Amino acid sequence: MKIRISLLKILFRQTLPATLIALPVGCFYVLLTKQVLSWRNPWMALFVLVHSIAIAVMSGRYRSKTFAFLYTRGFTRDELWCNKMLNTTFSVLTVWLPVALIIWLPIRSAVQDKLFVSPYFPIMMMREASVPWVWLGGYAILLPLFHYVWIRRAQPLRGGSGVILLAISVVIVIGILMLFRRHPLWFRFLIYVLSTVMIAASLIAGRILHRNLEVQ
Amino acid sequence: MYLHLDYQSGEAIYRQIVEQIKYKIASGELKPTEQLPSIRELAKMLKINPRTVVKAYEELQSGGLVVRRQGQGVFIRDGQAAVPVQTRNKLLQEMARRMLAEASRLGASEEQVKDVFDNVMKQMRSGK
Amino acid sequence: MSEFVINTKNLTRDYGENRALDNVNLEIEKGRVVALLGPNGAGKTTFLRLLMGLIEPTEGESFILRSPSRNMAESVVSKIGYMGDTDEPPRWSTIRDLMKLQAAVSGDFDRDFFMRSVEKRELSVKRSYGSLSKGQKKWIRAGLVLAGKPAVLLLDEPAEGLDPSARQDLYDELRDYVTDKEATAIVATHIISDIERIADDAAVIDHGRLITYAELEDLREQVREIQMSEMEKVIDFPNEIEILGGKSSGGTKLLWVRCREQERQKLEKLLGQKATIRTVSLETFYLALTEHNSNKRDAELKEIKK
Repeated sequence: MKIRISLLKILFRQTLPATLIALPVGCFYVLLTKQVLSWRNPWMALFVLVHSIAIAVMSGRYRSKTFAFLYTRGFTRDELWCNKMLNTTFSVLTVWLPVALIIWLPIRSAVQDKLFVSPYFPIMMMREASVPWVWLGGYAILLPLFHYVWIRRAQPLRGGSGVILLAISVVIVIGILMLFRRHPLWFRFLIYVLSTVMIAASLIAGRILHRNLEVQ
Repeated sequence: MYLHLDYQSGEAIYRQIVEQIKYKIASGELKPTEQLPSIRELAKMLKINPRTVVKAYEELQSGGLVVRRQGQGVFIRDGQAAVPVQTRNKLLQEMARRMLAEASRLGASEEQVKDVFDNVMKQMRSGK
Repeated sequence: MSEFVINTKNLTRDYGENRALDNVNLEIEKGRVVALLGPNGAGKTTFLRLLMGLIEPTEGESFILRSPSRNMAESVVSKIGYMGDTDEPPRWSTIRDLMKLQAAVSGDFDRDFFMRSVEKRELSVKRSYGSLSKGQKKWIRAGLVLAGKPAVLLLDEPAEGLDPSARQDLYDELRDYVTDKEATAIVATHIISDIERIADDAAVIDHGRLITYAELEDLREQVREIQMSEMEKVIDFPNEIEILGGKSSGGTKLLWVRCREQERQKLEKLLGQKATIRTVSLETFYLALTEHNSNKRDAELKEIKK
């Protein structure tokens, strides 16, 4: 399994439209929002969701000519899979890192203070420091799942593990919703464990399914 | 050595090679003891599979027209009466049969074929 | 099995109700160029995709260098040069991008060879793939495949869209490559005149079935055309003689047969002066095979033989 720069370059270019749109949207939202950001902010949740779907769709057009080309160069399927996951990581980081830096550096509170004279600016940095990590967690759960779903969509005949994944994801979503009310630490811990299992399961199932993917 | 392969004729390629080399030997273009191109060279020149060249050279060898010397290559055989009588007769019969079949297709009578044959022979004897 | 570079066993693929490939058994030795012939939609592309492992066979299996198509070893995948009819590089990728991509997979990518083939068409490596003409695209893709030094080449209509001289160039390069590297190639095409110069074998597919697989030299030796007057009653042909097709028009009958030399001599005696037997170009042979589907052919033949 090797990292192929030339392959990554092409894969990165495939998801570039999503990256180019998400980057300014994310940055401006974080710069201009006046309320203190919490991880329950619905707009950022939506942003992560839509961005994840866009990446999965753009890097998963398995019936396109480009895919047939990439898949017949002589790379193994696993190699393609790994580079695809790597590109997903890069594409997310390209958007997430600048957004996180705006909060951390703290460009955000400076802008809020000077431009908008926000009364919250002194507490912003402290209160919001952990929020980007929650967003990153969102990407980490959603992207492997969406990749998996997209491969299954290209390959309707195969695999039964989708039901299990769906069940686990439903449990996680319910769990996260329940976190809104303050629950004991063990419950939080359970959700973390479940999420990790879910991510691992999607990645492994996706990789196996990807080996048998039919390329048109 | 220039060979022309005709893909429209339907004739086997190795046969075309054999016949053209035979002709070149007969016409003196290829001299006794002269070396033929190696199998690989000829294959690349004609853009064909080396095995076809092997087949042609084997045919020439069994007809006594060329000799293969281990590690050196294929050479035109020295000495005129290289073709054994049996082989020669067989070849002549085959040529005659082909000619007669073609002639009858063109609607020529046996007499006409004989006349033409005699004429051509006379022409060739009188030099050109 | 071990000596075959490519072999398939009962290879079959359905698309819904439609059987695209039907029970194909094929064994190809090292160093051969196989012309995969057949009309459009005969199953050539499906066959190559199955070999490449892009799609799953409904039944049967196939192997390349002893590795199963659907689960190919890493060492085998990188040795296959594939050029399909649907795969295309992204429009925005430059020729240099593509060269780097292929060089990343193929261990000893022949840069000089590739650059020469780019220069032959007077192109620059900075050009984007999308800006090339159809013929230039094919040329670049073929160059990529050959420069990757594959042991096995699977090419689907590689010369489509090229002008005649470029077509010849491409096939000549292919022949040289296979001779030099002792590679093995399958070239799917429906134009026989292009490929017959450089191919060693012909595999003819029609309606998903492999109807002939033979050395071209054998076909040249064995296939003959019999021409006779329509008035002539034909004696029963000996069983050893395979009748491929026939046509009747303007007072003459044409029959295409395939037989060995001894049988041909018998046949010549049998027919005597009533008919002429002559060699036939492969193109005529191929048309005789595929022009009519098998049922229609049998009916017509009965008519002609009567």
